[in-house]
Amino acid sequence: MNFIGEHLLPGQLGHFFLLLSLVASIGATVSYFLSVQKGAFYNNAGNALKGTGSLSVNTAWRKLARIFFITEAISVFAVFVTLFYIISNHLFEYKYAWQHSSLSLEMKYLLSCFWEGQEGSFLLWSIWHCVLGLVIIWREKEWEGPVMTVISFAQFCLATMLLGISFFGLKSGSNPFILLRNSGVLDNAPVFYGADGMMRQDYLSLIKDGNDLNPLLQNYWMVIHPPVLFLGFASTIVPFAFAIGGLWTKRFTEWTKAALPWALFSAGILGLGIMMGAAWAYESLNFGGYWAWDPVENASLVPWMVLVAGVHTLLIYRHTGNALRTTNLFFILSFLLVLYSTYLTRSGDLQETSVHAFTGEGITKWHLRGLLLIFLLPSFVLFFKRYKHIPFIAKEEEGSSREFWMFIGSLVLFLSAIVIIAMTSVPVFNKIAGLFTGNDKTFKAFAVGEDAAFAYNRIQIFVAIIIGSLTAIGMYLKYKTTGKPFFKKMIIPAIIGLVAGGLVLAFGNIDYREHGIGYLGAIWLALLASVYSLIANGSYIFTGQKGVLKKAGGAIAHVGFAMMLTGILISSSKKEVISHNTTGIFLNFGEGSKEKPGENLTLIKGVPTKMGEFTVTYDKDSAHPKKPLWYYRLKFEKDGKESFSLAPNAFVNYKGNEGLMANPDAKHYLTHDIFTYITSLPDPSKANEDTTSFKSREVAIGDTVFYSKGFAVLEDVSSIKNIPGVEFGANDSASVATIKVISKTSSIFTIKPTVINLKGTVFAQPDTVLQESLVMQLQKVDGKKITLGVKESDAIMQYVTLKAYKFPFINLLWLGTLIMVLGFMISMAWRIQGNRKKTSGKEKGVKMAGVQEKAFEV
Amino acid sequence: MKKIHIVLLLLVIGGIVGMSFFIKDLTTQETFSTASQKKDFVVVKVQLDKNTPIEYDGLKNPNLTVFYATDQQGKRSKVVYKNAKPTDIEKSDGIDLNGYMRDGYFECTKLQMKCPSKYKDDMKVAQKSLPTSDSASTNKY
Repeated sequence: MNFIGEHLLPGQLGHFFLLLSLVASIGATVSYFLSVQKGAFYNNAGNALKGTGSLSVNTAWRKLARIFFITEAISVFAVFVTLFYIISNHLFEYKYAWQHSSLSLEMKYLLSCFWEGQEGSFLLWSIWHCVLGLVIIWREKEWEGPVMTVISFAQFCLATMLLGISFFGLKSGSNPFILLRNSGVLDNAPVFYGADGMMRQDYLSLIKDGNDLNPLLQNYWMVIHPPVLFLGFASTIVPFAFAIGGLWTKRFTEWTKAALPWALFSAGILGLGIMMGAAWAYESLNFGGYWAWDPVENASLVPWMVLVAGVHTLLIYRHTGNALRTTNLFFILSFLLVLYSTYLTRSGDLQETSVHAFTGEGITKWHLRGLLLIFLLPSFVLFFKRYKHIPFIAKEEEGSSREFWMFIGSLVLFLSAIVIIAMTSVPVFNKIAGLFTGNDKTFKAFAVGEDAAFAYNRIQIFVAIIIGSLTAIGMYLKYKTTGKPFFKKMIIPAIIGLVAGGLVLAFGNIDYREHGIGYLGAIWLALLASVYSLIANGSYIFTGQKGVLKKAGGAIAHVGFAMMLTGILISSSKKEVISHNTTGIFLNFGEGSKEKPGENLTLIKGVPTKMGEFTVTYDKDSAHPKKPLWYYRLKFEKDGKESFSLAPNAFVNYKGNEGLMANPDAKHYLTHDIFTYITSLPDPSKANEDTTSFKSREVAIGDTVFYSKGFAVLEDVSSIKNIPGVEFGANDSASVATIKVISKTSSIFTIKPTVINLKGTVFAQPDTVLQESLVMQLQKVDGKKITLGVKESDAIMQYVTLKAYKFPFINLLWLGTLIMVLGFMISMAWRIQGNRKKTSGKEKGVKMAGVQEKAFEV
Repeated sequence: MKKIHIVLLLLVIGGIVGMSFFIKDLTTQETFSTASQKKDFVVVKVQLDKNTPIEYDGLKNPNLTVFYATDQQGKRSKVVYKNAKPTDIEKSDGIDLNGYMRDGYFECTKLQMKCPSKYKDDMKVAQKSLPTSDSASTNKY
């Protein structure tokens, strides 16, 4: 049967290339494997050749393997292009385009659609593997064989994720080119079927538009963050493959030189990708920050931490011959953790704990678990089988040596990563425990305690202290042993750093007491350490590296890291809710009430309201021309001097669903951000323009004021001194009027408008009777006489309820990230340059050989 | 014993101490009835009672949401959440309430919703955007 308006060719092409990529990746895996096995990398007895000569592979197999891999790369690119063609041409006969895009979507977000779905993100991963693979074929002649065997095999595994064919009842992956009419989506919609029960030939004409992209993803960070993050994820396979290659070919030491730039690249890009995700969360999510210890975030952070630990142990090995075993382990684990994270976040097993874990639909759980195991088992077997053969130095490192403290730093990072992933895996443990206890319900599932973020923070704060201190001192130490002159170099930066840290503490007013004085002390220590580290590494660029930036990658990365740490510590401990609700029922708390004021504040349109140090007016709103997206303009004023507008927006009643999806807006200052987002709205479809203003009247206690639908009696005026979240000075005061409103329908309401006199400024907090569309404002209090503003509106009250925060020094975090990534890249470039010199000129060959000799002393 | 072993030992001890704090703070998933016996911070898996309207008035008090929910054993309870009404709560398939069982109501300090719309691949929500048989029969298309 032919259907009208379908474009079947792109799908057929796409599917063809999917299958081709699967076959080609098998071919590449097998041929690369044989090229290594049939090459002469170890002698017939199976003993490793002692680090001499280069790895020789079977060139015939390698030639075939390259053809296969290039075919594979072309196929994956073709799949990418085809799928993008389908999305950008709005071919809604394909489920992927229908499900993830819509006609109204801006061009830039069409790319985001691409990676919204599971299939697209696995495709993205696969593409980066291809790019990395091609670079390896081009640059890494010697290690091409083993490394590409691993990458080709990973490509095969990823290709099975996109197959969409069932074997023995188990579905292998999800085909992105499936047609909408075959996907089951239309099965329950009788409209698509004719009287004979067959699908209507013109069914496509009924599908006017796609399902659209999740509004939260309609953000520019979502265009760029996933590709960078996935490049980071994909690139962790390179150090892994080098380590596996070394173990496999028993050339335990030679891979380290070539792997170092790759590991630096991966750590830099993964770090950048994670922080871009944090920036996205900060700008478009509503958990009020950039980091929430959410499983999805943890799952990307943990491989990075282990990878960074691996980079450090690799550096130790390159300079001293120590820590090779640990390096192997860390590189293997960082890639396995990427796979484990993929399982955690994409299998749906974490749905209950994550704000944004993805479902297990499409690609099934067994497949993701299988992907992890198929890499985990062989690499562990290989690692433990060869463990004893990996060279190590029996002699103990000196306590004054750089490697000793670097190693400790790596261990701390590694253990901290293990702790984080263990905490994140609580639902997995529940699942496993549930398997053993079965259905008898004896097992009660565990859940993370009351303050999940604090559960993480109170452990990681100590990691911050240790890592901060180690990075501060580490650079000034020398490999092998540090002599007195070097210690002397350390003194001046240490003094400056600690003084600067002390100044930050003294004048920064870091007073975060929510979790007790002990925790505050830990924050102070961590801040001291990170400021010290910032200064120490900054000055090392000039004292240690003589200002030669291309050599100073390490110090630059550390400066960036210390800056990030400083930014994190200050912005989190000084983060301040400024939308404290001082109106409404919270005025009724008794003296000394410990009740926390609410964090949401309601702004009535056109009524200036006091919020923190600002007076905020909800000014006007506007709608997006094509989408149900509303912008709410809020005018912030401070002391009559400073004035700016923020426009947090929200999707209202998006796609017929009640409710709103809000995006925050922030005002960026050099030293802090003012950050606000909408938490609640009246239904805007019912609202109309409100043009009335307050009419002022002088009223004494007992007086009656009439309004169109009834009257109001001033019952009492009293002064109050206790408003949660407001600190009263000696000259400050606040008054509250109690007014009884009696409507024509004889309903009685009591309202309490308030006026606050704070530092010479008067803030009136009106109160409202929503049912009567009545607003009363206490404008002036003169003994027992008051000036009362009365406003009646035909319109249903327009208001927004919002939350607002002040984030100090968040810019340090973003700037620090950039500097850190820059440091990684400089370091990478320097190492690549170094490697090239060594292979061509052999100038430093002697030194390296010396290290390797040592490495074999065993 | 090498220095590094001592350090490693200390770090592992530190890690274990840290983790034991975490484990100590772990709570359990309860039902409304077991939660009222426990009085501690607990997690209760519930379904929103969609027959009773959710009480929330941003003008009166933007920090108070009151709704009713039934737990997995079918017990219904009032839930007080001192915050703005969570977006999409009406659409939720299930809610994890975090908080304390008080007399007559559950005081919720944090809630985690399971919303079909949050998950990208959920077809039920996606199907809503398809034309229904009613609209098609009027030949709008």
